[in-house]
Amino acid sequence: MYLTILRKELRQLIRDRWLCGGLVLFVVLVLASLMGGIATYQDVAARQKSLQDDARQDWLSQDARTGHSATHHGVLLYKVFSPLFAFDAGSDPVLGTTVRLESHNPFPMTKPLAVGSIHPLNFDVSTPALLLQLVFPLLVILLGFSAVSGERDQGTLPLVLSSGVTWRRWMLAKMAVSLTIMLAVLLVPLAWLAFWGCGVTTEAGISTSDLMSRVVPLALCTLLFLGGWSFVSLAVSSRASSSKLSLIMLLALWAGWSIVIPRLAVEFAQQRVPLPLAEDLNREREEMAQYGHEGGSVYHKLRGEVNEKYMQEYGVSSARELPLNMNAHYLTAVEEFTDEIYDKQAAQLDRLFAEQGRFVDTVSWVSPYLALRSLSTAFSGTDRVHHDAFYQAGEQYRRMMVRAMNDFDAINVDRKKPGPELWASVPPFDYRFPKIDIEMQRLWGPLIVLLAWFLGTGLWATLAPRSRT
Amino acid sequence: MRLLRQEWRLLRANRAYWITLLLLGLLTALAFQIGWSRAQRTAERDQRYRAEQAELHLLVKEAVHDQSEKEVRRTMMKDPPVDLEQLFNRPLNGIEKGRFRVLWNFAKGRFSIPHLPWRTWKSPSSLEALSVGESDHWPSFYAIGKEWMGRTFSPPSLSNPFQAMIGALDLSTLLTVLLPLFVIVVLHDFVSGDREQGTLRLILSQNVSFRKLMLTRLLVRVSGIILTVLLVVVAGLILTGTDLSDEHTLRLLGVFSLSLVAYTLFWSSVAWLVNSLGLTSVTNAVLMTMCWVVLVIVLPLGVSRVVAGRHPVIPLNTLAAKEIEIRALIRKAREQQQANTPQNEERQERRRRTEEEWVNSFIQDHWIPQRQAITAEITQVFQNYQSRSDALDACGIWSPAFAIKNTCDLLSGNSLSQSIEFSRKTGEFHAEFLAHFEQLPHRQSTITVEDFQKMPVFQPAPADRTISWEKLRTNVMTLAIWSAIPFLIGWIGFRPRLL
Repeated sequence: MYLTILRKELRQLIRDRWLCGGLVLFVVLVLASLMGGIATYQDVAARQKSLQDDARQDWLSQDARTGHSATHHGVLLYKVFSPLFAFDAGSDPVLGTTVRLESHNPFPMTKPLAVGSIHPLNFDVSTPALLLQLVFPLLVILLGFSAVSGERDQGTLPLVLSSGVTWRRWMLAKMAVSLTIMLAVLLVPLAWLAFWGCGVTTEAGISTSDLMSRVVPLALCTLLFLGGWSFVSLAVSSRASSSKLSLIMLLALWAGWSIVIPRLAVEFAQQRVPLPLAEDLNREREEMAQYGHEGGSVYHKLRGEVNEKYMQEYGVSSARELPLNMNAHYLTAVEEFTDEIYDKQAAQLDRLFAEQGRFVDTVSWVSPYLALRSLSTAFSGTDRVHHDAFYQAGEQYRRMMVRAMNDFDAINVDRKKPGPELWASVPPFDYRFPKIDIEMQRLWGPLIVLLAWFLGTGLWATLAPRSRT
Repeated sequence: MRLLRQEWRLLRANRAYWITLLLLGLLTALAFQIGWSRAQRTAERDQRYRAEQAELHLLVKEAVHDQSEKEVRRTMMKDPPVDLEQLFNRPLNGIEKGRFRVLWNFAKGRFSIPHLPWRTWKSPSSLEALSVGESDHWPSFYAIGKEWMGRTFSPPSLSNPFQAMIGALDLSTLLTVLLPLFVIVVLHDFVSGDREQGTLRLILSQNVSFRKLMLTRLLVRVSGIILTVLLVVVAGLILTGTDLSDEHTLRLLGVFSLSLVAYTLFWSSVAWLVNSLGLTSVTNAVLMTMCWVVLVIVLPLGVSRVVAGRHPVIPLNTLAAKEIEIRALIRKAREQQQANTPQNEERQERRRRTEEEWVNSFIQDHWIPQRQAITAEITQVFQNYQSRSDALDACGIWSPAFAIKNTCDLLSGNSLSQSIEFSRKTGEFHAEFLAHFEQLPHRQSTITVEDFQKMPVFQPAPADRTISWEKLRTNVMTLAIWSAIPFLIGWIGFRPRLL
């Protein structure tokens, strides 16, 4: 029986040449977009790699100078992008690609990829992920809006129902057909992505198993989301008095769930939990150091404290009598002080971002698109958390480099200028792409929303409406 | 009038229509609120920066007029000879006192004044709430980067990247993207609905022109949409304290209304054309949705890709690196020159020079060439951005969605061209500011009252005063032409097809 219904549904779809043509065109569009994404990734990854190599060479070939001067010569780090950037660029284009590491101050990441790009209508569907998550539901609606109401309009619904098939079975067959179509549309680009991704894992610093642990859930989440849309289309179509009404209701739902609610959610999240201006944070940091000690410089206080500490330790009455490079010890103390201020500010920012994220996650219960965007960017490794993971790794590297240089100066009492051996003692920055576990705890919420969306809409579609004909 | 009354009566009984209008009104109010809250933040920042810059100016003025210290101080720890709380007429906390104490030391020196925290910023437009525009992507304020002009254009930004990814729901996005969907819902069946219900024959039996009747119906239905949006926007402006008695603001509001009417009429004309084909309501809705996908999603995306490809630009924040390169090149050239000069000659030359001559040559050989080179680079970068913006404006004719979005962005003062203009003006101001101090007589290390009075001051003009009326006119004309074409085609082919 199932097979008969499935065959009938598929035949009905194939008869609609416009829709079949639309589906094929859409798949071509997604593949073209994926091809563009892969080309962009390869270009960006190659550029970043080459710049990173140059930066390392620049560090190793610097002139003879003191260790601390070398920290001001600095190191440039270039972000390592996830291969899944080709599928879902997420937030990566608006975040930086380069960070300069120097002592005293952690610099923000600069040179985002999207600088200078055009945002014509503030409505971006330029990546395969956005095409599948934002535009494909429209096609799904066109596939399903007249699935039941069309029969009703044409007066063939009583005929279908009189053929002995139960409502639930009929709906389940339609759902199976829809899911098969979604799977077919998803399979081609995602299989290509996985196949291509496995070939670039070494350069990207990600293992094949980790890549697959991202691609498979990504595909499943997209399937759940699109499946939900197809079930909603069926449910609305079976309840609407006409195909016209069904289409209007579905269009309204699409606009509401995909455009209005997500944008309102992020806007209200910003209003509820406003972020400070970056320049205010910089100024606060500067002022805490410059004038934070009774309106005077903290640095003076630190110098006094360091001198005092070592004078007591060595039992001398003047800092000049100390057999140490006191400037290096003072600079280490300054570094500890500035790191502490930075850590406080970073923790405060993290708290604000997390609060905004919680608000958006709550709203995703009424707009599963938000849940899918969270999951999609997280599995693709292109969200803020992954960006921060890179930045934090860079920050740890900076602290290690500065400490190594200052420590060298501290024992270098006769102030000999070091050579390439010291520069080479700082290992090259080796970034391993983090596993998805780093934010799995946060992702359970959106995952439950998506699962509830799939099951809830599926249940709604299989429930028979009060008036079937 | 009879037709109007009849249509009004029919419409009054149409509950779905009123629910649609209610939804549209609510969404418009929400989008306006979002735009307004952002505009509020811009206005607050404007006020804050005005006050901050006024205090800084006052500090420099006081320092310049102060005769107790003739020379630039050598210590930063000494308190200024004036009571700063009295000067600014407000209490200062410990950190502020410390900051102003340091700033006082910079406030008199000819070479140190550029190191004070000067800034440029965009002043909000009276219709700022209409569109977020490019404000998420372009800075609306800059901290003037001392003698480093390129660094000025690398402002650190802090925003939730998730928001940048999802986008903002402002009034311009609502009108451009969602308003057509409302028109589709209201008008896709304004003829076909009657055909499907079987009432078309009844209508045709009346002694009235079919086209006239349908046109009246279309206009009555669409006027509800236009009025809803306009009423909410005007009420919002009044409630938020916008001065609508100001002639300039009224003119801007007039342009907005005209654009809104033209854009809504365009989508009504599409409905008119589609209904003239004699298809079913469902097919009409599908066709109109396809049209929406092409005009609102596909065309803008395609056009922006083409424009970006044809008019490549470099990010503004690479100017800082460019400046380092320029300085290195100039330094290298100077070292080369020195290497070519015999050492004895160079030593004799150095001995001959007075301090004044040395400063003079330093400014002439270092500062001025560096500033001129980076200014030329900045000018070139902005020219590239401007030509990209012009190309985008020219593309407004390819999609009415472009034209309405561009109009809203222009009126709100957040368009791409206005953002570029603001950044360009910042560059110009910075160059003029530095040139002022370079041109002073070289013997003085502090500035005089006269020099201070001639010092360039950044005066932000409200964004709506710098609007290009020509661009607005072109956009409105584009919208009018777009509306006319489908309407005329539909008018020619409009037949009362019964089947």
